[in-house]
Amino acid sequence: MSDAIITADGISKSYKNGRGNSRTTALDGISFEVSEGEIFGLIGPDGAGKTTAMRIITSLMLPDAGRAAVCGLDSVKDYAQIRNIVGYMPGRFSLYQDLSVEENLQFFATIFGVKVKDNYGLIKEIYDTLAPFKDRRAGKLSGGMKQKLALCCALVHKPRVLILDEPTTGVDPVSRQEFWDSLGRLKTQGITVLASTPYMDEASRCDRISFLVKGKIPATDAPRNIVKGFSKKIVHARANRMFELLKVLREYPEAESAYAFGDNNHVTLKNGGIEELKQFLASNGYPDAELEYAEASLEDCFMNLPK
Amino acid sequence: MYAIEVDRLTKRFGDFTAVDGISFYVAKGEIFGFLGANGAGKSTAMRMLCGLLTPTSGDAKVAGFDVYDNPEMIKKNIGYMSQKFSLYNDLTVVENIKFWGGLYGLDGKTIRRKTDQILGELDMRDWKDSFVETLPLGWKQKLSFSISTIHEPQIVFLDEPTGGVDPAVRRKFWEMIYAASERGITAFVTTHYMDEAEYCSRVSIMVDGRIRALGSPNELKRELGRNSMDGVFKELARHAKRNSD
Amino acid sequence: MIKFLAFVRKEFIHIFRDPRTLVILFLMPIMLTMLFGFAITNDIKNARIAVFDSAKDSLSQGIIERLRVSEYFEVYEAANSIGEADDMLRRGEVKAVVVFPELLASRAAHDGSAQIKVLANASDPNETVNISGYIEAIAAQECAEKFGTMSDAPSITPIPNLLYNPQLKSAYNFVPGVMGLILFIICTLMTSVGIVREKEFGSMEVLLVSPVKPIYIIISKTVPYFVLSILIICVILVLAHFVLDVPIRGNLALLFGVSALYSLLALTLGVLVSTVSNTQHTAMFISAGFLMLPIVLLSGMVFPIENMPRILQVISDFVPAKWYISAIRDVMLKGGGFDLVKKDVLIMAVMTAACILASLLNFKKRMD
Repeated sequence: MSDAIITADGISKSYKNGRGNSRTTALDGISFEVSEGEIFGLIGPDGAGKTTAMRIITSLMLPDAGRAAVCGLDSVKDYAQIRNIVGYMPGRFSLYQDLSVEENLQFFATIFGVKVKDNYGLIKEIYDTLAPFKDRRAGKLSGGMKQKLALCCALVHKPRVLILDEPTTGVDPVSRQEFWDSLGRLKTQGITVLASTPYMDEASRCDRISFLVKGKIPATDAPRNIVKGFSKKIVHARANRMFELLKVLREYPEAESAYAFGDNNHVTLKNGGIEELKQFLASNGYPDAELEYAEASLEDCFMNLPK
Repeated sequence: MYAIEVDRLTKRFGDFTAVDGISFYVAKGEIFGFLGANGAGKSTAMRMLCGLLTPTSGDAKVAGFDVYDNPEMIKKNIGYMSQKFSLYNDLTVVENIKFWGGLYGLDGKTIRRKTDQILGELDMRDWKDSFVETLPLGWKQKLSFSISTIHEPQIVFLDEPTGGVDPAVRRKFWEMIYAASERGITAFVTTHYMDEAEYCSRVSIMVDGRIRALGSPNELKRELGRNSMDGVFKELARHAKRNSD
Repeated sequence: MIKFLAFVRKEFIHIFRDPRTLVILFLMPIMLTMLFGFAITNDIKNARIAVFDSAKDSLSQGIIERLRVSEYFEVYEAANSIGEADDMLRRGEVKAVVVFPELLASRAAHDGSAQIKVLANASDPNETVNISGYIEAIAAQECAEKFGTMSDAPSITPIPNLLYNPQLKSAYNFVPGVMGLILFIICTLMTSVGIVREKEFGSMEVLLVSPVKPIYIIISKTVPYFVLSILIICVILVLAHFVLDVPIRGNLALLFGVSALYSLLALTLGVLVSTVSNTQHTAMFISAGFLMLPIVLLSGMVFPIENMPRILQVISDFVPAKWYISAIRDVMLKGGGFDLVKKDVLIMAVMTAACILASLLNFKKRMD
């Protein structure tokens, strides 16, 4: 037994797929562990199985194979106890739209058998920004505020573990940043966080992450270690006509991949260096392309995961 | 002539001014990024431009048609895709293409040609009879973009088309936008991904119902002395007062 | 207990924050009661009838006189032969012909029963049944006066429903039916949609990942609607009694008790529906479409169960409204006590328990 707070051990899950007997595999034997006080990220696209994994861990679903445990409690056998120590925030906004901010918070406090003031310290910082709107109905809040309220409701019983399923999808960058700032503060209060996200900048803020792609976990590590472990050369390329440049870069035989990254194009090289690439571009109508080596970002790593 | 011309467009709901006198233009074939924090008034502005909401005051022309007089003509000349809904989950891929093609008044032959073309471009021939529900989100989004441009509209409005989509698929999606733009289709895009803002030819950033910044990504970065659009956005949106949609 | 109260409070907020639904909840019973009470009444007024009196004795003359003065009939003309009566019917001059056989009075006095025939145009069987019923009642009044007791009255085609409706008002018959229907719709529909809505909204996911017991969720969903249904019972009864002049002969407390039990049954059935449906659509379809039709058709509200084929009679035993309507008629119109309705009450209680049990077994503690 390890001292992990959350353990996922070889979890598989498949769903029946519409008509007939075909089944879709959502999770294909994934394993990871989350240690006490960590912010752990499940990083992957929609449909990779993040939601399924979280539902199995919170005991909402039964795994086909493998086991999940929270604080040593089995998610199948001990589901009732798990539900007492976990704070869970599902992917879509799941509070009562027709209840006010305050009423929602009160309600969730009561069903967990606590009073709002019992653990107010935990949510104070987040709730203070909501307080001016406490009589407003939850359905009328903006995306960022809804997420804050949902976080408060998930925290009101002071759970040991906070499980957040894509908490920031559809939320603007400023609110996303604030949201992750809050998670950082919760960590200092000893709460373990498991969060999923498709945003790579959020992934960088986790202590450790697992990439989850098509039901499998190809890598689990601290973000900086993942970046450090990326051995291929990355070149940033810019020119006037970026989209056309990207098409040309894709033609380069030594390019493993080429993607647009904001105002740059990132090329991952199989062999050779910047000089060969420069010559190739020059002979293809881009003599003036600016090229420079660059460190891989987490997003580069994700984009270059083995297919 | 511009694809979209907006002059002091305003929408009030009661005493709440959702959109407060915004003015801008979008040139033909441009990829225009329409950014803003949650609740800044983007959706309201977009609905007015699509002919779904009547403005309180101000003027706007979309595809050459006036939003007051000719909302029906606007609808004929634009494509619209939203993250929340654009395809019927319980119809197959081909059924969806046929449905929307028919809705935009394409004849049977064109629909068949377009169906074949879309399935080819998206590499989805093997999936043509699958229910849309069973497709991964990224595929759905690409399919719904193809369908929103099936009638070769002058302008396509994309409302957070890549929300929740993984980085690889997001890039493929943007390549489709570029391809459409090369065919002369103007793209009007909202997004919360600031790296995507860099892909736009010009962007506007709305804060509290007003446009606070407008220009190419490079111009804006220079103006505000930031090295990324993320920095630009955070600088502008940080002081937003309004917090609700 | 605090958790439970928090739940109930939340449900009340849901209801009161949605005034449109609330208005419908109260408007629907009022409208339906009035509709059934006035518009779709099968009261007859000034129906033209003819009489063919072969008896010409004091009893037949007495009955004819009563028919003549009654507001329901207009005695058009006396026919001289059966053939003439037939012609009048065929030409549509009259709705019915009442035929008094010879020696009516002496037969009635001697055998304790006699028969008078009602010939009517069969194109409107309902009306025929009604007219027969009215004539029967009028004849009974005359007999009662002549012979002193009701039991000696001559009998015609029996219409048991009218037996306890001596004033001949059809609203009486419909009010129990309307109560059976309304309470059922409101209770089933509202609870079933209530739980499914949480599934659709995603809030069920959060509730499941909390220490709340399923029984709390189920009961708390039923409490507010139970309160509402009691209010609705009051509204219908007030309307029925003061606007439609329906008598309430039995014990008011018993009437309320039976109605409350029936509401509870419908509420728990709604919960059961919600455990098997995943969308509000399905829930509404099941409660409104699938469950409502049997009530209208098989509860005895509109069509008498006694005249149905055996198989439908068996099926009707499983329609809760059948037992409720029967009980409420017994209490409200007959003035019966608990003894008269204890079978109905028992059956409804068993049904309620079965629904609660089935809901609990069916309630998914997980999402798959």
